Amino acid sequence: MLDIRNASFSYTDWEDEEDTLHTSRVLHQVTASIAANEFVALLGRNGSGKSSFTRLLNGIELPSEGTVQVEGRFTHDSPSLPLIRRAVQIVFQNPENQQVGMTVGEDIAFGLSNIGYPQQQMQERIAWAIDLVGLDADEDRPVTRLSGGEKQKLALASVLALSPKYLILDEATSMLDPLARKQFVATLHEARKRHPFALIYITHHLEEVLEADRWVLFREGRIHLDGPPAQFLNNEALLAECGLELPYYHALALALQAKGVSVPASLGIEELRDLLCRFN
Amino acid sequence: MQIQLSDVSFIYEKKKKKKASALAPAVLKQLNVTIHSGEMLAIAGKSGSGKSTFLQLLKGFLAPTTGSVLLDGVDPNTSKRPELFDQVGFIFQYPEHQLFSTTVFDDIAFGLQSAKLPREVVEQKVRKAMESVELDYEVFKDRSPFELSGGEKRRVAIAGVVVLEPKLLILDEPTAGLDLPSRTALFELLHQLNEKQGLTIIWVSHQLDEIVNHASRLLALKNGIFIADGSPEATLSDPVLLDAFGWEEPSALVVSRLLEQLGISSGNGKLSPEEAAAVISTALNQQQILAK
Repeated sequence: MLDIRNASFSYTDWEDEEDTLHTSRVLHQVTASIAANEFVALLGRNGSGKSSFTRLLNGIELPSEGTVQVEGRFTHDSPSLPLIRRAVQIVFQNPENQQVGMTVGEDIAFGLSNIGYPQQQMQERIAWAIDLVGLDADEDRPVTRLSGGEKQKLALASVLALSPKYLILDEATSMLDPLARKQFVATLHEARKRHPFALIYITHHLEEVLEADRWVLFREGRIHLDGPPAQFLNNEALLAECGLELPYYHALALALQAKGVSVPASLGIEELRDLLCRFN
Repeated sequence: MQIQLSDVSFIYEKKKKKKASALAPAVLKQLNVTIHSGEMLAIAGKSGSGKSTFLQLLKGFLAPTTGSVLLDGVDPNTSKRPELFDQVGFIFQYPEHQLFSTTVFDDIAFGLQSAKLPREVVEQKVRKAMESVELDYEVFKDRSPFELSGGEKRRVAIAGVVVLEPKLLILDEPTAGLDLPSRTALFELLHQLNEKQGLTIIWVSHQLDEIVNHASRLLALKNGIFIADGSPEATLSDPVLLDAFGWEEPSALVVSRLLEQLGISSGNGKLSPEEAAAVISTALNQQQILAK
């Protein structure tokens, strides 16, 4: 379990011309927990604190107040950090920021070497990871010859090779085309079925996280609402305030209900056709 | 700016293997396309379809292996006039990652340095660029770009290109990673640059809804060939094309077409959920009245 208690976080201070010290506080007293194998979406506007929150989870950053525990270990307990970082992995928006190898194989091997993965099983593990994410490239392929979508799959393969217990995706699909995005998400869920891990998914697109167990909405550095998606989907005003757009059919269902037309919240094109044909 | 591609192919040269210098397969294959001045053109296609290569040809980062790229009728590559590519503004993915100055002003003014302009001209140009991306000059000029929000940073990055007064603006996935209000604001800005300053705008997008709402034309690239070139509405409701890309038709088009099929006018054919709800409830009310 990930357990975050009253955690606050500020980015590094800076001094202005009058030598006044400024800090920008990005998280205020955040409390949340994420259970093993849960699928949790983190939502909120740019700058609301989602990304900073995830950086606390694997100890890249430490809270200025409060605590973060990963499977019972505190992130401020530095001897625990190697285990914590192994358990909690992040895939970022821009895969190029986390590529370290010249080739696909080297890139996946880098993280494995760092955790002391047995050398004789390395090749097998690399092939396993390439297969798991459906990357259509052999291990000798230079990273520079991969397309954006392929680079993102490689970033995923490199972290899944380490068998994380918690995987954070920080808008990891934002550079992918719709089909690649669908495949990437399917790959993720397939991988979770084979080797369960908790998925912590940051996105601005709600249709990608309708299947999540929980949505956690950040607003100005605080958790504004934490609950199942259904709790959010009928609150269009709140979502709009937080810069989120309902998926088309959900918005249509709400707009129809507002006009007194009786339709289910999970409206689809077939239901809509039936509704209109009843009268035609 | 008018852009004309004639028989353009592009091949990345492979590392020479032993004796034979092997050539990689063509990334772009015999492209013929004209983009007219003032267009708002979206380019879509899978990762690896050649979109980025195509954009880089327009900016002169790459030269075509065969064929020609004409900017306003001139080929900068063969006429040895590479300065023509200066009229093309190029905004990379996540351009805010390339901000580096301590103030917004310095970051935007950076591209003007080589021109050695007098200070007041630089100021005037930066002010104008900031106004065009709707960043208040006095409020933002001395701030650090790093303390701005994601949407604001991206505006600074765009201002750094707009300040060079390009005729063509190319953006590679400009809304990736932005929240809805920032995305909406960014497109308002692009429409303004397009309509008021006459900028030709080409952008790569993976968001089909965004294309339907904002593009006047869509080029869909697959394996180095444009397999569709037309209005976003027509392209994104064509089952054959959708299948070729594995795309789902945008809901706004699906619902609008359903209404048309039932004899209910769907206006522009891409109704928003609110517009669709209004049309549907009116239709239902009328039918109820008729039924009575």
